[in-house]
Amino acid sequence: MDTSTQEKWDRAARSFDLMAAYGPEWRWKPAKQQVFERMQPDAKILFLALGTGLDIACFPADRNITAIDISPKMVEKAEKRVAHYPGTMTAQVMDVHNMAYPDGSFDQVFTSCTFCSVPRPVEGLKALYRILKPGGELHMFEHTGSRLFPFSIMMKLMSPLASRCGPELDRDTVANVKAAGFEITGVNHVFLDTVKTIHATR
Amino acid sequence: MEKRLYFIIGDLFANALVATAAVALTAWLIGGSWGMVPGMLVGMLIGMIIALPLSLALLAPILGIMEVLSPCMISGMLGGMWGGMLPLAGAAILRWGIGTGMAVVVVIYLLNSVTTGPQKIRN
Repeated sequence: MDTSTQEKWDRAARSFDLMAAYGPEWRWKPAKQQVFERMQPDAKILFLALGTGLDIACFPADRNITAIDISPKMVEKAEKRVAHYPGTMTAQVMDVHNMAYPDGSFDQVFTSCTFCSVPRPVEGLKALYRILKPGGELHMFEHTGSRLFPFSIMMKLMSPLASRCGPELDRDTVANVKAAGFEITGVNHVFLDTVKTIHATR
Repeated sequence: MEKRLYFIIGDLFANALVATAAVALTAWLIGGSWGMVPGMLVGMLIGMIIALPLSLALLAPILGIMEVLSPCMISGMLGGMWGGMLPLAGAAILRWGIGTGMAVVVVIYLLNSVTTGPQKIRN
């Protein structure tokens, strides 16, 4: 378990809902719903990172979802939202780099603003590749770095500061997904080229 | 493109606020007295620095993080540039700040309309 990442997100759990529950969630809700609509009724689904469970409101009902997060404090805060999900849902504290699931355990994996924060993103994505069944799907809602000037430079400048208390701002998550061995099936930009949905298969 | 009135008004307000704060601070600190180029460069830096806490702590929780942070950094940078270059005071600070913030929002919305949507896949 990566304890420094765990401690960082445990600290962030205190004010996470204050920062993210209103404006950011409302702004992103339509795009997130489009991603989570792809959750199949009969599929075994892994969702990461659960956070305080804000994304659960965008999940379709009656799905079989296992949600993980590295932070025990986040999972603790998410418990109520997990309990109210109208389907089958369990939440576990787990590091994406060291997941305890056997190979090919899941049909679909969903992420939401996760790979801006995973310390070793390609390794983390390779771990997702491992636990997906052959032909399994990866669907991501992520913010990344930008290729547009001057945002590209600003993101790079701000990233070291932002990553001290939250996510990195200059990740190339599409390239990381490819580097982990996935085949990209779709990329959709939601805001400029920094907020996007990424769809891939194993 | 964002079509919800809450966010359109919010984006205009956020960028006008950040740009005006940057113009006001740099006009008070520098106000064109350092010469055009040094005033412009230092003003831009100060504008970006004050845009960061304003965007993250005050505006992002109500308007969204990425949608506030990127445009407001530009608004802060440009606002700081004007305050550093020009001897502005009183109503001129408001005019330059609000004008800059609104212009940035228009440019961002136009840019957003061409960058969003499905992208070509290169595996």
